[in-house]
Amino acid sequence: MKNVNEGHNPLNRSPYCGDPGALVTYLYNDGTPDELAAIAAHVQACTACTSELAALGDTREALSTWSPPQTELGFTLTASDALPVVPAASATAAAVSAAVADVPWWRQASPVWMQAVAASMVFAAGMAIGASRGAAPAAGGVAGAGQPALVQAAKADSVSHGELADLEQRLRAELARLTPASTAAPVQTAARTDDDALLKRVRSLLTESEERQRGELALRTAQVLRDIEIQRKVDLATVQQNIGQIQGTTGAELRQQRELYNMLMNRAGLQGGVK
Amino acid sequence: MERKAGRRDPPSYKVPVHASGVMTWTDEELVARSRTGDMDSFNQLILRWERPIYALAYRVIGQEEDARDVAQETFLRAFRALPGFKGQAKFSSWIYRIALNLCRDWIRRKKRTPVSQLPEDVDLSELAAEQGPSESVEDLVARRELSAVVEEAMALLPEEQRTAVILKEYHGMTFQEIADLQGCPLSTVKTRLYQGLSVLRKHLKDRTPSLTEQAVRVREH
Repeated sequence: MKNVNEGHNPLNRSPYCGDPGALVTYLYNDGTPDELAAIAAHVQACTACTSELAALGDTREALSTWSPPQTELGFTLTASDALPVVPAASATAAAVSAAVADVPWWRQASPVWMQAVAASMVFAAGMAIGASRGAAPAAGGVAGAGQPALVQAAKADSVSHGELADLEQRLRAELARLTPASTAAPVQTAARTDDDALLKRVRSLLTESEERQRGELALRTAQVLRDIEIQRKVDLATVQQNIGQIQGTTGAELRQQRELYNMLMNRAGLQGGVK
Repeated sequence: MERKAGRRDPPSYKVPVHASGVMTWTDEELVARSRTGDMDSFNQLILRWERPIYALAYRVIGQEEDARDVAQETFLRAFRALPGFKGQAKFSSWIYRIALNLCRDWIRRKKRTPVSQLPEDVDLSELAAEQGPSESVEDLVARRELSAVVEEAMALLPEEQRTAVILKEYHGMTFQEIADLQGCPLSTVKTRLYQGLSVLRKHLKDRTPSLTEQAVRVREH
């Protein structure tokens, strides 16, 4: 920062001389009366501070020319915005939702149905990889004797049926842990071991989610329709008002024309009479 | 609406109780009513404060559309946080704080200093339409040019200095109010203001050598 004391008369030294805080206090007249009086007494005797204050004052004048664009605002809260309003007792829930809103999307908890779909996809991918690895030795055999090492490696990497069954069990256990219904009845979930049951569960979750989304869509559509209706009414009122104004203006213009016409006729009549 | 001198955007929050025979609620009363779920009361608060909050957001972030969004989000957040607002601070201070936090988030998200939307070529017919009775078109053009340079210069300031200058110059806050909003000592606010004004002064001098003349002209109007 520039040393404000530069150029100041040493004989005129005061605790306020060149002090940015004092200058700004005086510039904005925002201080205690005693403080302002003391700074004013110094400024009157100090040309450097006086010119500094004048320059800052000019800058402030220039700043006053800057206005934001005159834009239409008209923010209004609607009933849908009222949903998050909660009684003071459940303010904690609001705090939690606010905290969740601050968490990046990739760290937020996914819906249960999405987790179930992801788990089944992982399971299917695991099965596919396992099946392809199981077929690898045959493919290696077709490739010929030039790649015995590759064939050996493929054999070494292949997954046994036991490992696959183990993976399946683990995935099912994971899925059961993520699904709330399964926590309520773990025995029942564990009993469902066939793929049809799993698919049925995923389908039902998807159906529930779709129904929920359909409900939300219907709500939003109703909201939009209501907004459009309100806007239409406002527009209609504006148009009617404008038409009224135009009619008034047109009437006034007609009256003026008529008066002008009458005046011309009168003058023409008078001139005719003179002749 | 903006005052010509650019000072004190917000209206007084000590609103007179009666204006033209119509009951006008104070901010505190409207807040109390809003907390009971009266949305009309909160909409009255919005009507009262939307212009100052938009002006603050626009001057801090420098983008018209984004400033609108920030202003809107400010009121939405305020409404949602209303149950937690116990009136320990003035409503105006509280809403300014929310708006400033959102502006700060915007700046961090964009990771850049505000990019001013400088006005396009001056349209004389438009200028003539908004010309005041005592201001010539030449003066108006000069004012516009100066305004564009100011906007450009403000974008150069660090966020804290810019905010301090904006709150003091355009919203007429006291040093103490700014210190409370920025969460820093009073002396820091004064230093930020002085440094900010010095940078602005230098930039304006470089860009408009006749700044003094223009400032004098502006002052005369």
